[in-house]
Amino acid sequence: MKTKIISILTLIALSTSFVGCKKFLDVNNNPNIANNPNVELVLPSAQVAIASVMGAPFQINGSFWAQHWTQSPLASQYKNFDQYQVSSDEYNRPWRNLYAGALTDLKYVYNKAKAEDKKQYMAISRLMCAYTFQVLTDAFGDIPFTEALKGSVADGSIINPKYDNQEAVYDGIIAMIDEAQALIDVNAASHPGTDDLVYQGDMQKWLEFSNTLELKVYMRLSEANPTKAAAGVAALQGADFLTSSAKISYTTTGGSENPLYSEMIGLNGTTNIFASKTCVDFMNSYGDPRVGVFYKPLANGAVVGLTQGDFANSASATGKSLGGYSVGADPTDNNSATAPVYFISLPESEFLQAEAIARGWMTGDDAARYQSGILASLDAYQTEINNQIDNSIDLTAFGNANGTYSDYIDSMLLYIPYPSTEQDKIEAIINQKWVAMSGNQGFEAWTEMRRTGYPKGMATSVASVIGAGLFPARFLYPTDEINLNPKFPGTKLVTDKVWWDK
Amino acid sequence: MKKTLLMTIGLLMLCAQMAWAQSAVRGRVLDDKGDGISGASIRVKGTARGVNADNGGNFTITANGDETLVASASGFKPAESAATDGVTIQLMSDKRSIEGVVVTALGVKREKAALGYATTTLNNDDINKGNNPSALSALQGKVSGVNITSNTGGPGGSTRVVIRGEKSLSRGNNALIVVDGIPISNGDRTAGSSLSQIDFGNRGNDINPDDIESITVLKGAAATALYGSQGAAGAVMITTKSGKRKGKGRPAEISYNVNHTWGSVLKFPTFQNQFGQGDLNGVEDDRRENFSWGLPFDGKLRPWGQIIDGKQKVKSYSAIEDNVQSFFKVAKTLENNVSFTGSSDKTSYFVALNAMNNTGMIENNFINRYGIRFNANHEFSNKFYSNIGFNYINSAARTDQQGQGDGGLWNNLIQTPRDIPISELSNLNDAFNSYSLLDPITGKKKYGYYGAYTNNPYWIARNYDNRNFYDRVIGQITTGYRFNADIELMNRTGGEVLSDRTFYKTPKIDVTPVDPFWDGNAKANNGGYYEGATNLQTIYNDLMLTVKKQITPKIGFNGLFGHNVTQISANTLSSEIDPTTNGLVIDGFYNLSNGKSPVNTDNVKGLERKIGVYTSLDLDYDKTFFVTLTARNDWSSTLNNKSYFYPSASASWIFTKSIGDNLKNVLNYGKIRGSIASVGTDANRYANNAAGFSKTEINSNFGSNIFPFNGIPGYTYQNGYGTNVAPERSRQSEIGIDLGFLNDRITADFTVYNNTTTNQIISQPIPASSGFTGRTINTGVISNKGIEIGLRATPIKMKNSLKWDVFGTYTRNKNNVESIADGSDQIILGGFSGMSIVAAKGKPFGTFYGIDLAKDANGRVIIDSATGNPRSTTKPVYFGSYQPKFIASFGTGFSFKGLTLSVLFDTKQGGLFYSRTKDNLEFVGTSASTVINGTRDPFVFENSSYLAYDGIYKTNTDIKTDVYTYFTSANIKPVSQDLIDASYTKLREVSLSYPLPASLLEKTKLGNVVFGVFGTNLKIWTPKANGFVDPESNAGGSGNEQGFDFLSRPTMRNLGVRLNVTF
Repeated sequence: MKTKIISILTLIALSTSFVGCKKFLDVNNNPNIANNPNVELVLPSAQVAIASVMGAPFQINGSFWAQHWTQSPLASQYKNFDQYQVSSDEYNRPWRNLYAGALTDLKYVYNKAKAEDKKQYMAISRLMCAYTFQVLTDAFGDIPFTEALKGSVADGSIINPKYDNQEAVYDGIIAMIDEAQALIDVNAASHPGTDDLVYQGDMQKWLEFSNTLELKVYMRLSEANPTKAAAGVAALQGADFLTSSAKISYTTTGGSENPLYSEMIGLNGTTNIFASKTCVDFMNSYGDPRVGVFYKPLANGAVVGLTQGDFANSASATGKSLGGYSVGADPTDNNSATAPVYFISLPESEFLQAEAIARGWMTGDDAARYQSGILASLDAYQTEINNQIDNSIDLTAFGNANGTYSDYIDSMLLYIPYPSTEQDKIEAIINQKWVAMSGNQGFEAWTEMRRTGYPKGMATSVASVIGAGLFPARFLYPTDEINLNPKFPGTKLVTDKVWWDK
Repeated sequence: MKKTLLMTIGLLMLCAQMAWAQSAVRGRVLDDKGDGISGASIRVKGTARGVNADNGGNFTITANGDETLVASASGFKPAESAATDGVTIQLMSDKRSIEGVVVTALGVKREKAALGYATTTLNNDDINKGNNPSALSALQGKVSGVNITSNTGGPGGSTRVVIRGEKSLSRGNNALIVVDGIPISNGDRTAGSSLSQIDFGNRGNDINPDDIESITVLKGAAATALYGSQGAAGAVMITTKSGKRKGKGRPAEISYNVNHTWGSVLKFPTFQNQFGQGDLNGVEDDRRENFSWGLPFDGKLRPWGQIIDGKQKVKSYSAIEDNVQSFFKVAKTLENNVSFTGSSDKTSYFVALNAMNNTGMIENNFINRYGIRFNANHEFSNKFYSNIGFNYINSAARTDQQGQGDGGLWNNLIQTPRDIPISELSNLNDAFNSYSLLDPITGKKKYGYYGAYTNNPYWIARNYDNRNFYDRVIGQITTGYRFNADIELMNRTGGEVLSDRTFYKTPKIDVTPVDPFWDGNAKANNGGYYEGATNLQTIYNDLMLTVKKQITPKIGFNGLFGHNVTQISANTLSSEIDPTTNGLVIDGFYNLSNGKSPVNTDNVKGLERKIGVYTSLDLDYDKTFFVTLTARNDWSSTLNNKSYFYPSASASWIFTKSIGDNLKNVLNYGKIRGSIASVGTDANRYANNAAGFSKTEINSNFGSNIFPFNGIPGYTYQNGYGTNVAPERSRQSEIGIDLGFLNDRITADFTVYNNTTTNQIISQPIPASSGFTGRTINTGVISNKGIEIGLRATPIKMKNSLKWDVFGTYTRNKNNVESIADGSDQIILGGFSGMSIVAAKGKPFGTFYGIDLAKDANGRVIIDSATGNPRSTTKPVYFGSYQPKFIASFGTGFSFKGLTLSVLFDTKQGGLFYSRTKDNLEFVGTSASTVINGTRDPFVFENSSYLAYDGIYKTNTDIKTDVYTYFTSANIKPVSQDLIDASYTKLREVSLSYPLPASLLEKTKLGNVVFGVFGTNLKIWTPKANGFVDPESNAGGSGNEQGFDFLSRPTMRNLGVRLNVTF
């Protein structure tokens, strides 16, 4: 009797627990994540992620090494850049934000757009991918490419992608651009809208972007493989190039601010970025009005730079200019929040064409391209330059004291004439490209310095710890990659050149 | 009525005395803490004469002067005394006796003799000796095999309880806390990263120690095999007080207990008192500086701070030795406990009210905690019974932020130069200290504070307002049915509901210095406000059938068959005006409507469920050999309903039952025990899911972009995914012996164990180039081997009730991370980019990893012959771990006629901790370590060499290192120099209590009155190298990030008085 009761009770207990047990336990669907969002929700994330890298860590690092900027003696955040003594840790986050952030999202956009036959999304995602991979390989040299982004179970769980050499990566990038160009239909009825934060779905502009990007990619090979570069550039003869800059615009709304400004606010508004004497002196030498735009004029209207790397002497801080709000570098002025971040700028496009023509790889009027490059840069900051004129800030050293904007421009251009020999032309073009990119495309300016060696005769930072006459030639591979990827080929020194840097 | 009865008895006795020439002997029976034992039985030895003591333990018995009285009471060891009038007989609790009953897994009570594994049980008195407001911290030094760290040493703050070493890479290593059979949540109430943490302590500390009847620590896997997933790290079983049912209808007892504690900082850094404000390599007497790298003190008058309206303060240029100390107040804690206990023949109850009111050492810090507990049980019939237990806790607290940043209190405080009078900074209305002077022209605010690089600590304490409030109900209802004496069916439903709210205010500040000379030293913060609410619900239901059967006269059987359902759900909603990406519009208006930009809101929901069936089968032979087999099978939602099974077996043999009487006179008790078990653990919820998408937030180093971006929505692919993992496994074996000598005058227990955790469920970090940064996989092996020893002896035990006890524990655990995963040899547990705390293959869990001084083949530090600076390694290297080599404690107790004194020391030896406090003090030049050989002249680095020529290093005797450069330049002093030997010895507890003699209370209604004085963490001894902080202070809460003093709040020393009264 007793045992009967027990067994009955046990049975009841067990049966109630197994009935509906499966359903009871089926609660492991994470309610905090979304699945399968539409492509228009993911594309803008990738674009902003790339801009956050180009606009903050790569901007700072690039503009320090391009000698647009130097560390303020009143603070210490970026001393390491001026010392040329960077740590691998520095690059963990940008590497992660590009690979596991932007590129993974772009891959999703591409695959989903492909499944839904949204060709224009496929094209944009391919172009942004190509752009990003070029930035990565220009920064680090050999990088994971063919096996990259395949960590998911569906992609075969390649959690340790191999490294491809830079030459192969460049070939891959060109193939991506070609694929995108084939997909672009400027008359397509279905295309992105406001979710495309760069061109709002204007596919003609993306076509121009693709040509300009391809030109930029081939021009980078000018020293490593001039034959290939020349052929690639020649094929672009007559193509449509940029008519407006590819950029991300920002507002003063929190979370939508310029990433450099956001970075500075995160550092409690401490002023770290000072104007570098190298760039300021160069611009002042011919009365470039942009000097008061890229840098913050002193009370007397002058812009004075600090000797590159001279942060140890706190007395040297007095009477030096900060970075300007127009490039997002002035933490005390919230206009910095609205400075755009450029992917490829209009002046850059003009200078690329000028150089291609100067090298004889393309036909056209290189002098006109050179001048329109300068003018495009000046025009981008016309409002700010006019403000300075209105405020009677002294821009008169080389021109008409009572002039208008165009008077200034004209007089300035007289002082930077376009030379006649090929090498001199290239030097002039790259020098002006370097000026136009001051504080707003620092990474590209430094990268073009590496390729061409211009501007010439730059002195090393006085804080350098790597030896006289040596310049940084690459970013260091991130610590995470060194520690986690068994296929990682080996660390490099900051002075080791990348393949195209001959 | 009762009194009359007693008087009658007394009268009768009086008559008897006349007849037999005996007299009335009055006396009192006390327990070991001096409380009267109500209802104790007193007999005259060798006679039938006996009485029971009253509520206060008082009795009157008729006895002859040369007769002997024997007093006994349930739960106590009997004691004898001569029958002299006014006698006090003290009974020792036998809860600790080897043959006691302990609470095991699932709240099942078992004879300790039958257990094949080690447990330790402490009673209310053991726990409350030091009046520690945290029951977990109160276990320190009292239990072997357990590593307890309490990072504040006072109210609030986290307590970490790790039993037999860290076993898991991703699940917490904190022991499971079980209250009356119901596991309770023990999460950290912390915010921010460990680099700027706000720590309100962990939830396991919410149980009022005064309500606790006993705590049993279940150490081995066999002990916890029945809890499965949740008990893999061991369990702390808390049993709360219930109304005692002793015989029929005991009247209600009211107990009141009040104590007042005063707290102060246990250990301050050792400061230098030779050099003051300034920067010798910059401006010698720079008055903006947080540097004490200025000129030597000369005692002459010197101005300090800013020039305001042409005026500047003047003071003597000399050290203020106790300037940091002067900032701290005496912390005060007042605790009031009232409890009511009563019973009738069918019902008993316990009701307790508790109030703890604390004000901290730092201005504005406080904790107010109130609790109500109601426990009751009722017998409906001989067969059907029920009991219920509820505990409501309400708490409000405010605390300071630790770590770096504008609001980090300790950080800003300790950077004050040695000559700046900190206590003078407290008046924020004084223009020279304030942040709110208005510039009449611009209308903007100006600051007059002396320092350009730090904030006024008083201003921080008054304006950075971090609060936590919670309401928590923990409870259980049990009903049972006894079919007969042997078979019983029981169902227990319990769980908790917790509502936890936090509010953080970050003041808006945009000020420039008053003195134009200081231009460029502006201070700015957009201001912010955070509100977060967490609601947690847990439900546990256990249905258990127990069967007892004496199979033969010698063979007994005990069976338990059970079924468990667990559900844990949590919901967090938080909104924030972030100072970086947003900010306050109106200064001082802390409201979510006051953001410059849209407020960031986040909600996280969670639900997990588990079903388990289990059994435990015990067999004994002649109460001498015991065998227990357990088995459990679980199905867990977090493993996508995977089923997993785990068994355990344990055995014990009381060998003293088989030895001769002669030997028994010496060795009265001996038990050999052993066990082997396997435990399975499930995954964290949703860790096993495929990757999905979440709203995009792109974080750079210090800034961020957040979607919607200018109104455009954005989603981003997650960086991690699950791979359909299997349960984590832990296998443990242990053997041990329990011995009692000379009738338990000396007892000892000794255990050796070996634990291996395999198949760990971790988020494996993977290279970001794969498109992901982590994935959840099964991998990794960690082993723990150790010994634990407990000893207790009573060297003196006199008839006149003088007693002297000594006891000690020793714990040694050797932990090794055997492997992590293919391709990854280490996982980061905490720290920061310069100094990580890792689990690395071949190293103990919690090893430090960072840059060290470069050394030559002979171990000498390599000095750069050109600069005199030491060289650093180019890559990080491994140092020791935060785990101590061994933990030991020594305690002693004296008691005499109710007066008891107990003293407890405990020590941890070995292990390291990282001290950012040290790093900051050395950077600003305030610590004694920045004065080398009495000066700041260049010095020859100890045991150093230099590169003489190619590959040959010569001993350095004359190349000097510059003190200033070494301590203040980035990357010259490697981070390894901030690792400090974490060894310490503490005078953990001292307690003295004195019960008023029974004779004084006779005419009152009081049962007994006990006065006490107590102290905790009274003194600390550390190695000479640690002139900085208490190694127990930790910035990482109670998680796996330990040994990490990232500018954490200093720990406390406490001293108090208490009064216990019963009615």
